[in-house]
Amino acid sequence: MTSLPDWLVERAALDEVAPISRDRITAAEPRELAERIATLRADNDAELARHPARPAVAQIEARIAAATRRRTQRRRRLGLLGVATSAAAILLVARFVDRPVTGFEPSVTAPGTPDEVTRVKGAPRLVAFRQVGEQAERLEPDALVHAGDLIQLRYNPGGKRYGLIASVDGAGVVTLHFPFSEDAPPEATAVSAETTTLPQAYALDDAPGFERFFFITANGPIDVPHSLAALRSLARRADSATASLELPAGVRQWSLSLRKPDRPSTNHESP
Amino acid sequence: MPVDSYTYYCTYGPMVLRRCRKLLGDEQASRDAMHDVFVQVLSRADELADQAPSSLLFRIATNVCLNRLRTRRRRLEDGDPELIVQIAEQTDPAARSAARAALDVLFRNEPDDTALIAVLHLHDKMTLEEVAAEVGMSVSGVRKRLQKLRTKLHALEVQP
Repeated sequence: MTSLPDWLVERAALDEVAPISRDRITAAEPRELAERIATLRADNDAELARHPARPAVAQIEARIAAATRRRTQRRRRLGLLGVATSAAAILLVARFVDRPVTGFEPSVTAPGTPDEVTRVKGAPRLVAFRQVGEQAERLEPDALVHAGDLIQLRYNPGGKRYGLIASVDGAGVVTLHFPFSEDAPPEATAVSAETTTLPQAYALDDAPGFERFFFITANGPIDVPHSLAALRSLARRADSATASLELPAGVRQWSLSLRKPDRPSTNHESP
Repeated sequence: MPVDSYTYYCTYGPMVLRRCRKLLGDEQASRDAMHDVFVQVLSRADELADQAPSSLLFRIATNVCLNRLRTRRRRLEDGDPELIVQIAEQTDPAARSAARAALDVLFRNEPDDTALIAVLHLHDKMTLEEVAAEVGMSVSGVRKRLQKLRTKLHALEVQP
């Protein structure tokens, strides 16, 4: 008796076998089928326990919302210009705003690069990658970056269950990277337990001095507006390149600074 | 009736992930692909018909993974399509890259659904009738696509 293919067992487990395939199910050895279905269901439960659905769904919905926004903005721009937008014009826009774009894949690195799949263990950490041609270059703290560089972020929550990622630049502008909306509820700050790449990359603008990425983590949901207020308060300070955020007890912060051509920055962590 | 994203993900997410793992092998790439699948599907949640979604998700997952395999040209690992493995086993020691190159040539000018049909039939062992139902074509249409593909494959085999 031929064993059923995996896809058919999956559909049997979901009770979604198409009429055309029902004979194959009927002809299958019942015990083997039942065991394989039980194995799948156990795997489903284990997967959802290891990687809870809510953070994943929040990210997926945020990607859909961002794509919708981009489409709307693109339509508006095209309507205003009345002509096809050239690549040069897109780059011009990128010079003035942090622009989310379709993410690239940080795991694709130069051959021989040791951190092809970066897994940062221990404390919560952010890793930034810069797209260079077809490849991604990992950016160390204080790395020199330029306007127009395409940056993608990867985080490891270090055991924390909630996180917020935002950046402050030398012009005092705060940009929220995760969650994806400034009015997101605290529950939307739930993060994946494993190293995760944010779905969007960001084109750096021409703000002077530095670009500093903050990873704020906690064991409970994080208040997004309150955190943004703390970030904006810091952004107004003269020492915003190095100062710590004023955050509630139990909320941890970690930052990664990238240097613009005219100024150094530092990698800073505080409990 | 609008789709509830959370329920939809809980019900079908693990299945989609297993499908992506089987085709891509790499865990992180598979998770990224799974997210891509749900972004594609839930972007059009209003249009989803109220019928078994596993078939739709399976097809989209297959296409997403095929696109990743095409564009990334990543190395072959366990879990890659059996068709590729079979070709690799039947060629010389430089086989795997040769097989990949052959498939690149094979699929380069083919419509996406031909690749999907080939994977469903040759890798997933769907019958012609099941493939036809899966992709919404006639059995003769599926047979023609596969025949065309076999002709191209044969042409590749006889090249010096």
